[in-house]
Amino acid sequence: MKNRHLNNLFLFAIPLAVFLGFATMARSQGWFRTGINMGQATVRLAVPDFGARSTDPKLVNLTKVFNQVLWNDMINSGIVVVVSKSLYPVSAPQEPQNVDFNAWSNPPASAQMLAFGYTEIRNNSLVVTARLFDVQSPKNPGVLAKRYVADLNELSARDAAHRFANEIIQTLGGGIPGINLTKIAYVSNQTGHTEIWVMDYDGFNPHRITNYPNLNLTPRWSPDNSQIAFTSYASGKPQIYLHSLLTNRRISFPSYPGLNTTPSWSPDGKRIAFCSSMSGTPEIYVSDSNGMHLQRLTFGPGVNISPVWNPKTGNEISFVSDRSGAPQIYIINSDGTNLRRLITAGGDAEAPSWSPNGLFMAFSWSVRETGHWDIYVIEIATGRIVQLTQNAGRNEHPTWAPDGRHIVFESTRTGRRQIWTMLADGSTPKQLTTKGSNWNPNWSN
Amino acid sequence: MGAATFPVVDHHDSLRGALVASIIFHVAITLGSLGYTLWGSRLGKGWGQSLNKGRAIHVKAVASLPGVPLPMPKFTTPNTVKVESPGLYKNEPVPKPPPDLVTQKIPKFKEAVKAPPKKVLKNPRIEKEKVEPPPNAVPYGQGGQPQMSYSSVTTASGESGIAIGQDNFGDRFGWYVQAVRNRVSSNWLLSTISPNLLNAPRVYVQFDINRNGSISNVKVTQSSGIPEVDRSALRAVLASSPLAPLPADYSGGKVSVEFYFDLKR
Repeated sequence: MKNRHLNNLFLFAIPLAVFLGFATMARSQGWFRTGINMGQATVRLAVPDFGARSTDPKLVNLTKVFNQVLWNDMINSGIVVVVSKSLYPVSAPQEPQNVDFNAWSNPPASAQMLAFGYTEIRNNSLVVTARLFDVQSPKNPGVLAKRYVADLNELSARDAAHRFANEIIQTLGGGIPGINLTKIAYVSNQTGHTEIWVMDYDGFNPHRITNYPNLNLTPRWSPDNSQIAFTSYASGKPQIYLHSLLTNRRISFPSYPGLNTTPSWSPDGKRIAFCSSMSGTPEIYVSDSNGMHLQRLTFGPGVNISPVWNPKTGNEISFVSDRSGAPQIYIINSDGTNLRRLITAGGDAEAPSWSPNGLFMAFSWSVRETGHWDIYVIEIATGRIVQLTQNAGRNEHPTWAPDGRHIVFESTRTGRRQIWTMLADGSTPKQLTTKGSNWNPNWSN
Repeated sequence: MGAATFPVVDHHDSLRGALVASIIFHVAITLGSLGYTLWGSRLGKGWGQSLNKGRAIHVKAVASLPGVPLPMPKFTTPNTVKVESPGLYKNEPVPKPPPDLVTQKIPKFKEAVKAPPKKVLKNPRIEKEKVEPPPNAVPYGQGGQPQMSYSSVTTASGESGIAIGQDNFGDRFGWYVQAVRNRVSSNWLLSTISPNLLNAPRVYVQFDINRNGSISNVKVTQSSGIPEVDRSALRAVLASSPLAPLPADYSGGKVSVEFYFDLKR
């Protein structure tokens, strides 16, 4: 790749030199050509610790937090290989002129990208100057240069680190925004009651957002992240509740007769699909987000539950039905037509979750032969199924992160049910919760 | 007229003068050609160099690409499926205008007999100033891709005139090219191509990346000959929009990209 471009340069060095004047005129049109199968897929990124400009203990502590969060975000990103710190040169640069390009780009570090910078306290706020350099092209190394001003507390320092990590991921990942500022809603019983909780994507800052008696289950973020829909047994029987995170209050939603559970937002946030037994058997219904304009979608025998919208088109709804005996995943158009079964193999398949691009579906499946509950992903167009977890307790309820690279799920591999995340290929599982039992996670948008 | 003596040609006239002249002439030619062979090439231009230096050669800035042509992948059976696109070089035939259906009206008497139009008096000695269009003027309604004329650039190699627009983007921002390649190739799904197709000729797709990372002007510049492979390549590019914004150091408004796809299972 590099050599070819060098060859290009030599071939055209003479005409380029002669027509430099024209070149500057025609600069508005740049060119590059590339293709697949050219090797070296992942970027090697070095993230040395940012240095504090003073020995103020407050600044030193916040810098430590910043470094730790940035490091973890890059490890979790799934698009870069973070070079181990033991391979770094002795001194970490803080300013562009101090970068030793040879030391970073040659073995043992062999890095392509270098994230560096420093922190300082100015006007009683934390100022982080952060840069990303392409150390393999010393002539034109600058990729990113950012300055973040944060309050002098841990949350703000974490926020600054998350934002810089998001910038790096969006730049090196080809435009998909990073997920470091997203949150995960889940169900936890660590206070004794089963309530809805929300935490950062890396498990930091878990906090309870509901306070109702009895059970509160199946939280689902609205597409604009301003509301959470969930199932509450507060009134004695399961009902759909909406909770606004802006006002921290409940938003009214009609209480239909019978069992009402598993709400799910349409991608435009205007409709809600849910399961209701108002007409006898549990069926899939669709209504406006205020509960009006009710429409029944399924008329099948047995239980129809857990609807999810296709987030890309909004034209399809996947749900679980036991009309064939065991619970299986079906897809129906959002107007109630074109019902089909997704997985033709046997066993119990539950908890479908579309990937953000609408091409894949993650679900939990207990294959009849083994009986183990594991996370699988199916490519909807071809029916090809990939197993993501194996020999690790009971794994259920996967949902996708908005970048389509991560999946959050619940697992009993450490004993009780806990929230875990992993990359969408099943690698790098990471436990987020430890207190009590935690289950039914949902990733914000 | 008397019997004048007929001038007799002297048959013993010597040919020496002509012979010497001829020998000198031939030696001169031989020496001349030898000399030209030895030194002439250093004086003039070498083989393959254009003689029309200074004359404008029109090169479209976007139509083709500079650089070393990449080897085509080997494939076993060149498929001869009909190509959907007829190619970019063909113009569609201009539809014929419908025939005029206006019937001639019978003129009324008073309108038919009209006074001859008045003559406009002109002074032939006052000449109007002729306004010449500037050399870079584009005729009205015939804009589009700018045709830039570069002189003598084409002498060094066949297409180097196009290199002017290149601005060595890939050399300066290799990381951006790499990010684009990773994103697009991760969106090229084999499930969009029928599984019994094992390999295909290379597809070239061309598109622009705008300042904010959005993709526009996507087109197949060289088809693989298999429509579904072309279509899957287009899908991969379109699914990658928006890409990361263009590098902050880059001054241009957009970048043109040629991307090729090799199908090998």
